[in-house]
Amino acid sequence: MALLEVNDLTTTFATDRGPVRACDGVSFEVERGEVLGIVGESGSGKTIAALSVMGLVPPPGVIERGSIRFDGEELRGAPEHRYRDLRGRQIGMVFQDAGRALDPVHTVRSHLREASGRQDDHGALLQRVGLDADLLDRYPYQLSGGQRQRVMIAIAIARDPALIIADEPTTAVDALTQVALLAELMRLRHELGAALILVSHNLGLISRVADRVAVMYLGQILELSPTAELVREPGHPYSAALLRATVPLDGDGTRLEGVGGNPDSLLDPPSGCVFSRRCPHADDSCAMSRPALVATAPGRHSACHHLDRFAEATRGVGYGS
Amino acid sequence: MTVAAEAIWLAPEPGLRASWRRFRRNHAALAGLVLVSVVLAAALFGPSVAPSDPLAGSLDARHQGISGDHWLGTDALGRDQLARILHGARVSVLTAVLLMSIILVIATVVGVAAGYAGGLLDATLMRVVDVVLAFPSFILALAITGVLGVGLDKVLIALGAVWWAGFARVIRGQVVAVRERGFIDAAEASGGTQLSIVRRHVLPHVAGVILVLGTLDVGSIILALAGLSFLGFGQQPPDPEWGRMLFDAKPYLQTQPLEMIVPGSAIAITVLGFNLLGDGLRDAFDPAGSAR
Repeated sequence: MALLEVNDLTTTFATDRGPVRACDGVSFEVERGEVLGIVGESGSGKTIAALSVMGLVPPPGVIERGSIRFDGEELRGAPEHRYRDLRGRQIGMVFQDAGRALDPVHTVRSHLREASGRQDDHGALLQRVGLDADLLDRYPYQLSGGQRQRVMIAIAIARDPALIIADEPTTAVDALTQVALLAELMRLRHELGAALILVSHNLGLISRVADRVAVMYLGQILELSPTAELVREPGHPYSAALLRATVPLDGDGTRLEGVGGNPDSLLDPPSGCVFSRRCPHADDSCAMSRPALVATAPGRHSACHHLDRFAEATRGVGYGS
Repeated sequence: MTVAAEAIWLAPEPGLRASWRRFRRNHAALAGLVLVSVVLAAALFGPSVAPSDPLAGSLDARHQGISGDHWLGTDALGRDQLARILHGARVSVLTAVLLMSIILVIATVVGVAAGYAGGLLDATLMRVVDVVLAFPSFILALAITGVLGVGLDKVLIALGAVWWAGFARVIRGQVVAVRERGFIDAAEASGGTQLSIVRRHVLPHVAGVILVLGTLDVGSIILALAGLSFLGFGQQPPDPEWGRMLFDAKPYLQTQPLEMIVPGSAIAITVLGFNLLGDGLRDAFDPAGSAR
């Protein structure tokens, strides 16, 4: 049994212009100790997927259908107090912008006291995330962006959760800090033996640390594959397009390519395959019916009608080739 | 994103110490603090230092001007004005401050509940507020007093019943704004209960606004209290109260203006003090907003 099993998760927001499905039939699993990357453009539903797991979908959003099983327990429809017991204790969350997520009127110590439920030992917790214990009595505004983000991580791991959800944990800091933070997060995750869901728009970043990657677009998972295989041989035209738009670490001077077209709007999703309007391989059948996410190889899943044709055309696109 | 980052960078140093530093540099605010302190001291200790019994009149000493015996003169019944002002401060100032505290508690409970919970509770509470605010507050208080009858307690109930609504609306707005800030989500994500989140992350952010609102409006409460007493609804004779003293002095305005100037000045000085203090507190807590 996987630690987290999300099945057919559909989260809908009622808007003035009709219902918007921020997550549309999303299914994935996270094994104990595994790192799952969720990658996608802005508005692809990756953050809402993470918040749905936490039971923190902001109004007017509701989970319309699907199931979320954590450690075998169905969370959908679970009472609020049950969620409260899980949050922080079983599932820790790292937010994108620690400048916003830390309360300016509380010191670091006060934040850690709230997160850990303990009265002391906060210095040790800070040292675990690579900060000096003498920062305990600082206010958030007295910390650098990287330090704030480390405090966020300390809050998330304060009670040794089994699952950490990190939503763009390094987006608010510069590139060097980003690398250091990510290394810190991976080290801590390893120490705790916790699973990690890493949500980011940056496939390059995710591909360096994730065991598996889920590629989302317009609320749907288009590909879910082991990272190494996805990077070597993307199993979906959108994954391939994202890869071509990613700065490789060992840049060899090849030009980056954009994904082509503009991101579709959730208010007016394409009929059929959500990527059909931007896909170079699309034909009439793509606009007609929505391809299901099916297993294409052991451990690999893809939602594409023309996998054969596409595989032929893009062989050799990935980094590893 | 960049906007948020800059806002954080430019945000003034938070904390009570910084607020106090800004307050201390503000001369008007300090003057307000002194005035309020003097008035509160008079209300607390006045009766014990008053030169004579505020109720004891002497028909031989009616309508007297300033003298060694009566520093602020006497009224139509020969009662010492200074003694009556000092005793009246209890009613006029202490009651007003007490009433304001009760109003703030009610308004905070309503405003925080509505703003934090949102939804149906918010809509219901705010419609009640709308109804109360639809009437001019002084007229509504007058009407309620008319139903309840005269007396200080009735007037206090009437003022409290109309005054909480405006505060509740403002506090709700503040809570809604605070709720939008990321740290509330973060606190929820780390398993905080609603009560603990309100206590730790909402109240500290609205406390400054509540304090400022309350201080600024104590002056208005004092005026309303005096106004209702002046109209004969509040404190009943012979007990001294500033508004009532104005009322009693009215017939002699032309011949003995001092009898009206004394309680009038007491009210004016007190209201001024609270307003200066409230302005100062507002600037101290919200230096960015004071430029507006």
